[in-house]
Amino acid sequence: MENEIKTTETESDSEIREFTGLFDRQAFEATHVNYITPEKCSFTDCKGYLTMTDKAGGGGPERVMLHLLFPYSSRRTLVSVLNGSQEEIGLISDIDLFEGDDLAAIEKEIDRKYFIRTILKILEIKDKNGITTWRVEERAGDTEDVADFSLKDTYGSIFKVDEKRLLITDQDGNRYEIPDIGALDHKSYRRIELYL
Amino acid sequence: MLQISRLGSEHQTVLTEHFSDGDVRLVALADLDRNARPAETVLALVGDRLAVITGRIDLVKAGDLRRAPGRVFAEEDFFEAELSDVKRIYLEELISTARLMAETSEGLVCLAVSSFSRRNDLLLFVKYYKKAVAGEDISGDPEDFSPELFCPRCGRRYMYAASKSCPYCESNAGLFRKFGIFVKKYRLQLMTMLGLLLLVSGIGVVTPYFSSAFFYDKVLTPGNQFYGKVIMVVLIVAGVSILGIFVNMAAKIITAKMAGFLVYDLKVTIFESMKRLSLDFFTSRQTGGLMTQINEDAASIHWFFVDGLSYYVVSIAQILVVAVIMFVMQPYLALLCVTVLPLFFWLALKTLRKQHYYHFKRHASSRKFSGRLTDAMGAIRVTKAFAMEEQECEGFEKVTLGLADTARQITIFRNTAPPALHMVMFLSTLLVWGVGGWLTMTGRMTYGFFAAFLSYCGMLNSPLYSLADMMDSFADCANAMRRLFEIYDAEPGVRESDRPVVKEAMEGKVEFRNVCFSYEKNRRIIDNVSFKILPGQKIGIVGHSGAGKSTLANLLLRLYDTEEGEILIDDVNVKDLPLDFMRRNISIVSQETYIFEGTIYENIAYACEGASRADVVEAARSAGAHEFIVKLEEGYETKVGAGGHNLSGGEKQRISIARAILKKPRILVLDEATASMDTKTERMIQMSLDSLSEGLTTITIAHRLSTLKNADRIIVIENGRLYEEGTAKELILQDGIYRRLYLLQTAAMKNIIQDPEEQRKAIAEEEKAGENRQKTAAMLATALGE
Repeated sequence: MENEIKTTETESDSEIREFTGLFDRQAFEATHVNYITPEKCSFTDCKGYLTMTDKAGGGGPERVMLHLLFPYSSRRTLVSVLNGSQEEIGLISDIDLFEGDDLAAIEKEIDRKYFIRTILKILEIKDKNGITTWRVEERAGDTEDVADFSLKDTYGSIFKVDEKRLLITDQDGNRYEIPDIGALDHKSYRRIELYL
Repeated sequence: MLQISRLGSEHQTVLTEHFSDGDVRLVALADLDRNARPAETVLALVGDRLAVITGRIDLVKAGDLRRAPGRVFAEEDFFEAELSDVKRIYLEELISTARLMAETSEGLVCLAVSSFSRRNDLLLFVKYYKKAVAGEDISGDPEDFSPELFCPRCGRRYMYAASKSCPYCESNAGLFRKFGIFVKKYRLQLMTMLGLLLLVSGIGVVTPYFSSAFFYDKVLTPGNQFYGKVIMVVLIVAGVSILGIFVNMAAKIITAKMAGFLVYDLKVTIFESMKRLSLDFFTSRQTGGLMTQINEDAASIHWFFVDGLSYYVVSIAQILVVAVIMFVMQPYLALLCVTVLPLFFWLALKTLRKQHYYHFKRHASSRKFSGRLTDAMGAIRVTKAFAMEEQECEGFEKVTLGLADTARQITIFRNTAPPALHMVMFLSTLLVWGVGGWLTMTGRMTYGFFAAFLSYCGMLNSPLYSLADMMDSFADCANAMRRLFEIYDAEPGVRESDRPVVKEAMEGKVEFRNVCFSYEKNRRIIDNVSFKILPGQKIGIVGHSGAGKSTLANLLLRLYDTEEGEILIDDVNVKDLPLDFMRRNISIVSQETYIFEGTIYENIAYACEGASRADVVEAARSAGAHEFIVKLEEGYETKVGAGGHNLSGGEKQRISIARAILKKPRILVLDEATASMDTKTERMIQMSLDSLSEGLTTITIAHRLSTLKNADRIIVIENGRLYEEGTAKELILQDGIYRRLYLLQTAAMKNIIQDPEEQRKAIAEEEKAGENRQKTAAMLATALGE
């Protein structure tokens, strides 16, 4: 059988070449960006998820997911559009290229995926055997509240995005941000300073 | 009704309003609306209907102002579907939210969006919904709802159920109690030391009486019983002082010995605790930080015990005894002396808190410094290759500056805070001088008595000064202790079963049953993978980079635990098998090899204490390592690892294989174990392993399909899912991932031997490829005997 396979390999040269060509084409597609623009596609919010309609290609709306390429520094530029198999269909260079319902649908999907609360004030941080429990005043959308959360590995859970901005991920995976560490009140700053 | 989330009266009310018939079987809450705005979403399984009510909670002031405002559910949206219309419901995990979706006859519907705080509730809702639909009991499994899983005080689910420790409710008082466990072993030495130190305090307290009051008023004043007996008093004072010195020396020797052993115990226990912890603990921390933690913290505790503890004991005893003597001698003056004590202690407490803060900060800087240093050393090759030395130096300078800055702050505070405290106590001395001097001048007090009182006043101040000076060391020690107990108390992600199934030998049968796993909460790495391996079978696992192949090996070895599903070895869940039994019988050779500091012999014999030299040589021979070892001057005694002989990637891998073979495992996992070797060496090792592995279950993970040539069965993993399974022959016939990998690797080889002219022809032929492909597929199928 081994000999037979060898023979087949020789005879299947063209298929191998064809496959190489296909692979090269896939590699080319993977390395060349397909920009999604309002002329090509439209987006619809389906009460909790997003669909995209390819205007040029025809066909019905397809469920898509969005993935921010620079989630910390930009929520509006370089947004990858993925299909159900998590493969990239294309890239939105700037969501502001879209308008009206399209833009609103995109924004809603980003908000759903990258939901984040803003910390306004740190009321208390208690450190018990390496697990810190936090009590903060936070804002999500237009709702302000006092929230408690805990960090299992405090240092590892605080990510300094830049000189000003901090991102905190609690033990459940919820995200909180402090947009400007310098704008915190003195007491809040003193409380968090130790973990920076 | 099974309540997955705690319902408030407002939720109960809205449920009753909608479903007055009351057949609510299952209910859970989500905390966002479909646009990810804070909201209340009630998910309910009511009779044969699935219902979702979304709204907000409004606070309504009660008529009586003393009562808390009422909570009213302001409904905004309602969705309902017959169960027969819902094909399935499932949870999608996004970056920081979870989305509950339903496939209905009308199409896809988003039922709810929730933050990760309620993720677990939604997962349970999906689980019990499925059970309910299947007609199973949904009264709630103990593994999900046992009261032991929740903190009785705040109702939160424990972070680690086994430890029953709730970070929100636990107090800090346990720190010194925990340290007491270590001290208990040395209680005899500790009691002796305390006794001796108290004796030193007593001697110190008696001396001023003999050297002042007794000396002036009884020895130097005519008419007294001891008048003129100067030599006797001098001898008594000298004798007592010398005794004091010797007792103090004895106490110090005992303290030094005890502190040494105590810190040794502490370090060993912490290291053992670290070994007990699972991989996720180490992957989530900078190794440099951990090294700092153990080294510096243990040193801080050691020096506090050697230098600080004796001072504290002596000082506190001295303060108490001296205060009593002073009150007995002259209560009014004593009262004057202690008036400033509340102020002193208030300031001391403030100082301690500040010092605690500075030490915490210093540790953070030191941790950053060590982490950066470890990083820089590890990446030196890349740094040099990219000529980034200057930038690295700048980064290093920044963290060093941070450390220096904190050290400067500590030093300034250490040198300024105690003198301020001294000054407070000096106030009391000034007061005693003034009032006592006046009492002596007016003849209400003898000079000797006043001199003795002044000495005691000094003896009260002096230990207080010591306490103020030592506060820094105490704060440092308390900080260090807290950090070390952080490791000591950390719960391993993988825990040994309380009642493990003890087996004498492992047969080598492996089964993955619906296994799901993620390293991070929102990124599933293994998704519902199931396969079986019979004892002695040789299985190959292939897939693209990042497909989840190595994770399967990590899960089998129980370096991590599955999130869902189970892994069985000889029909027993790995969670029920003793970890020692598992790791004794399973060997893994991964691509990332590690060579310990020591000889080649020691490295191969690492997991087999007492292995004979002949056994080691035999294992090395089987692993193809013997070939290069014999060429080394010192043979098997060549030093390798840090500072030793430099081994190539392939040589390291061969040593790792030898290490694994020597253990004579029942299951051998080769995770890209031969990736760094040339094809000839790889083939040689494979032949050798084949001869060795009679009856040995072998799992080989590889990119190169040639590595899996002799596998009985091949499993193809892609995006964490099992896509294909079968023999190489069967997989080539399928138009799937394996076939594509096979064609790609064959094509790569073809391209090497093709000259440019042939390649040009090939490109031209590609245009005809559409027709050729069909033809060749048919030929290939015929050739393989389909």
